Amino acid sequence: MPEVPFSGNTVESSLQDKSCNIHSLTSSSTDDKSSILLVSVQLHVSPERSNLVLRLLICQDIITKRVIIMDSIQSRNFRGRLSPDETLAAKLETSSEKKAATTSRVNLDYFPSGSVIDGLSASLLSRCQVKNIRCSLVVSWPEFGPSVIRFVGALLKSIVPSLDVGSVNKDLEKYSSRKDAWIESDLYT
Amino acid sequence: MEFVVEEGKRVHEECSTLILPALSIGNVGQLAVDLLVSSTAAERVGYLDDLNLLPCVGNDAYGPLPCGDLALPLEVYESSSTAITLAQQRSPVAKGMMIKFAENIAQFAASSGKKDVIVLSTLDFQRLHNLDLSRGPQVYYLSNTESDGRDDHCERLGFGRLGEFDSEGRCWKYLSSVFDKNSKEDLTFPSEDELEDIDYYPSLPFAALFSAFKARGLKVTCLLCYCSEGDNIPDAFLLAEAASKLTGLTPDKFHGEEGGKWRIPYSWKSMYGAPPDMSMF
Repeated sequence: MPEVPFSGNTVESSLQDKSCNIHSLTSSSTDDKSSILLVSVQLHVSPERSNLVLRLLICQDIITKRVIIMDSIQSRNFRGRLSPDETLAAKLETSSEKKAATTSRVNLDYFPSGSVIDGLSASLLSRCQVKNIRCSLVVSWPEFGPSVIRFVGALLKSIVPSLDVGSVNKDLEKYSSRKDAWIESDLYT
Repeated sequence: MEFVVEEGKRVHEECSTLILPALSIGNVGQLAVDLLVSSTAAERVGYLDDLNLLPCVGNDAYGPLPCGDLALPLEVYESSSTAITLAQQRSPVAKGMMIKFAENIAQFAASSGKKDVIVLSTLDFQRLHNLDLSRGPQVYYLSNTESDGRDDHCERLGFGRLGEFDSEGRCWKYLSSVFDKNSKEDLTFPSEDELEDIDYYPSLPFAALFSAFKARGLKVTCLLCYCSEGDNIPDAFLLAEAASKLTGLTPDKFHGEEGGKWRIPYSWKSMYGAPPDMSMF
């Protein structure tokens, strides 16, 4: 995307890069042939770009059977009360995900009616609904902080049991601190 | 634009009238469509997938309790008892893409056998020059029945013709030429610096939709009211009532609350956010 500067990005993927990285996880079990792709979107994708980016992610070279999206609740689009001290999470699912066995689905309450989610997450979920792909969008609050990192780590662990989240939690909590957000500004490269 | 029929649902071919909003001040068109969907118990039959719409998703907007059914940016609802198709648009068109969007939705309407289209929208109250409160809130209309925008049926219903419509105006001519495949005129839309007062109406989304549907040979009527940003629920009722009169919907077609006509959509309960924190008093 021409509006995103690559200056400051490293050759090896880093949490500080403004980039979108795709990592492949393959199971060590010989019985499990499925593969998991972890897509880390570490830059702001404007709503106008979302539809184009999603087509690169799931509609062309990557054919998926199931998608799980993790994003933050956007306070500007949320009609309830959001306290900075309280960790919240909710989900939205496609129809095909709803039909799947309860034990395989994410166990969270539904996102309340009246509030909306926009951007790349919404674009992905919409596309999965239209294409009849199993998909869950999990949104959490607050946007930053150790509590939400621990929640997201636990959720990832429940979805991919082989993932070792414990060893990276401390690093993630360091990058997720709100007070460091100014370092992410485009003014500093 | 791709129309995807929802699994297990079918399109009712007898639904020859399409009602849809044009996004505008106060989001009144969308609120009015919400009311019509909720009150006629219209069922979602599919989605319209268009790259020109900004993405957004939410939980079911109508209720009675949100059950996790996804709400997408552009959805199609139908009620075979009313023979009406309602398209609800929840997110704006990307900047600069309104012409393309209008073309796509007009193509959908024409190919799916629609004969009549009603566009619900609003106009900025600051643009209203002749304020006459003696008759109460006024609904205005613009129709392609006559070249001056006039329609006898709308006149009999008491709607006011949009006097500011001028088919020879430069922006209205531009819109006509853009959607007319046989047009040889090479007109351009004025830039932002060149826009004048007369260009306000044709610069609005309802004008692009009106011109697109007209070019497809469909009968199109825009129902409009003047409003400001704020509590626009009364404006939504005004437009929804006007649409129901224009389509000739009788009271028995509605499934309102406590035997009435209208059913408030579930999503409206939190329209102004959470109630204030009473512990501060």
